[in-house]
Amino acid sequence: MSRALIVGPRDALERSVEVLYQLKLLHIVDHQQGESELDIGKPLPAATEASEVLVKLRSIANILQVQEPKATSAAEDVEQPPEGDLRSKILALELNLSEQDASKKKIQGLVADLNRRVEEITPFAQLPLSLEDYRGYESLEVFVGKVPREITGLETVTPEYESFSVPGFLVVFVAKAHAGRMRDFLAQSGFTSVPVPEGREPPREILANLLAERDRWEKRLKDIEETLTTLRERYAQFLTAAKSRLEIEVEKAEAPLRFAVTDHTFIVEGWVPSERFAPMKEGLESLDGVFVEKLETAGHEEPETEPEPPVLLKNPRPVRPFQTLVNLFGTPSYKEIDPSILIASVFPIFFGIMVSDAGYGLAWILFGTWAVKRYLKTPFWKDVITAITWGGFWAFIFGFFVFAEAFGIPFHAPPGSAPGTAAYFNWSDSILHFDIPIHPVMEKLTQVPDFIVLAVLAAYIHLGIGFVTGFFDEIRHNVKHAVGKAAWLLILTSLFIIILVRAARWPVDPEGRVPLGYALWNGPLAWFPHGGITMSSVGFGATNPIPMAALILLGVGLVVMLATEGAMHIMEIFGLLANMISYARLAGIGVAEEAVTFALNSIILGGMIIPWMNGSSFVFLIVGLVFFALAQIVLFLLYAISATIQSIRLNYVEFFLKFYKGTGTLFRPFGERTTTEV
Amino acid sequence: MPIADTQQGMVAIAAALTILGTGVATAWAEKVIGAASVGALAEKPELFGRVLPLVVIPETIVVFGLVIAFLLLGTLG
Repeated sequence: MSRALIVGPRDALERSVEVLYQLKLLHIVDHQQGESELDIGKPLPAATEASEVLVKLRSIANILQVQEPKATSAAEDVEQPPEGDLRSKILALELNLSEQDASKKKIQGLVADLNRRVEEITPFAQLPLSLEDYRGYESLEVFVGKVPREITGLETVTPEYESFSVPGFLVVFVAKAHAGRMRDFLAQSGFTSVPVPEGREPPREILANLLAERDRWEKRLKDIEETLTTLRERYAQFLTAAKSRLEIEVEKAEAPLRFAVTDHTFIVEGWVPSERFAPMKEGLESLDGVFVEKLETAGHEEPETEPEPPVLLKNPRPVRPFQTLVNLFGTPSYKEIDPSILIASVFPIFFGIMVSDAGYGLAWILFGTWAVKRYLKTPFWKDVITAITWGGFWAFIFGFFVFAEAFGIPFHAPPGSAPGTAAYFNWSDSILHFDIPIHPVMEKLTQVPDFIVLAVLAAYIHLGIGFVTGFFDEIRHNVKHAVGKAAWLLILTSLFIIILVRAARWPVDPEGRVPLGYALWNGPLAWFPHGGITMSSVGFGATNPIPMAALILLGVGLVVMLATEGAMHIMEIFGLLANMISYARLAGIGVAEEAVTFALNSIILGGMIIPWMNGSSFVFLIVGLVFFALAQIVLFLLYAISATIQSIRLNYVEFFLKFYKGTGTLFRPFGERTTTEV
Repeated sequence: MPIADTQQGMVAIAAALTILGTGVATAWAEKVIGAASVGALAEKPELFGRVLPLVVIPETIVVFGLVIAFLLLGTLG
């Protein structure tokens, strides 16, 4: 990034803004008033009018309920602004609309009022009394009101009464002398009194009139709504296009607010990618009297007080979708290593380990590719789904070559399962009748400890990369912190060895297979000095003592770490251990998902498909297949969601916190339209 | 340390309790954080990336439970 300074005369201001907007190269640094003697600029004269019309337009769009189009189609429409005088067209439309809108609101109010009155009069219309019958007595008291249920036992209060009722409504005429007791009795039964409507006409007639009036108004309302729908259909496109054009106009017109001005000149400061500086200079200096200067370029050794340039991430194409995942956490600052490529290589692999099923992997490759190419419009979701699709690729690799299964059904019957049961059901014997030449390296359900060892290995590699990256990040600024990172790498290595040795306790597991821990410790790591301290009470027996060399590593790491990072960091060792164990979620999710699939498959295969294979009705097969497909679709999405979240989390929490801060600002050149506004 | 045949059921129960306890603890912790996060997101949707790891942080508890449960089951014959 280069810091650019643009100076020009006031009368070239408008044209400069235009050029800058077209170039889309400059990330403007806002001028703060009071920083120097210079004032901020005033908006161009066009701003007031444009924003006024924009406000009107937004209110029109609101009345018409015009939907915002999806991000990419908006970008296409922007290029064709509507013809004609935008302002007068919008004002005319607003006049027309506000009238319609006002009467719509008025009628809605009227209809609501009528509804209330209809509701009031309805029970009276059902009773054989006229409204005059309810009032004007000297010796009688009248109770009119709503009741929650039918009230019985009025005669227990007094025999001198008469009552009329429809469901939920009650009228009682009672002698004045007994009125008090009747009121109490009614109140206890949940009676709430309502006023008797005014008027002399029979209630039935009043009701009919009200209903007729309501119908009339509702018809009017429908007419207005239809008009509005027609207007919406006719003007939706115009409104959207006009809106984006006006927004651009306002943005341009208000740009001087970010500039510094004097009476006769303006000054703009900003960042521009260094290699694009020349084209920008050329473009701007074609205007009379405008000068572009490069301030000294931001290097890595500059003092901390210098303003930090914005960051434009540059990565090879396959890595780009993962930049979204990085930016979601925080844009890297100018001095940091961009972790996109790390997340791009690790995120899909972790996703793959957790899903690890050839069927789901393949399904994600197809579904994800289709969704990104054909269906999704927002860049954010495109990036996320692309990332998951890469995960699907690894899920296929792991599922096919390591775990040998697809859709939760193994390629070969697991050892010890009886033919004819759901557990035995497998691709080679039950479905394809062809021997798939791939056997599982690891069985998810029976070799969980091995799976956990694999996860700890992943933890070591991942966290190790984190510390190494941190080392190279720091060594350019602060050697002491860099040495600290190296010390942490030593501690990590020793912890990993100790966990591995604990797992290398048994040379064979109950099924006669060699556990991964043992295989690793006595295979690839056989060169590491094995001798050490025996602690059989916690599982370090004579065959797998805690290696002395690992303890020495731990000691050296501790001393160096305390010397460089400070005593407080001793607590962090437990944090690091917790981080390592946290990777066991790779195994946890993998096994849990397999178990859920296995359970559902057992029910569906064992209950429907296997009976059909043994000669049961054909209906069993059809129903079974439908259930199977539904279950698989649900599982497919469920696994993708949990594996994505867990994989992102391992990267954000365990990995990033080792070295990454993400406090940068994203490079956002003037003129680039953002589509993030919700 | 070998476990007597009659005691193996107890070890299995211990493993189950480990998962039960850590599972409930995780759920409770995520409930609290989740509610707060949704509140924060309603105010500032761009915090999503910062909030997501916070919500899933307690899942580590149940992962610890899982590991301990398997260490316990590993003592079974």
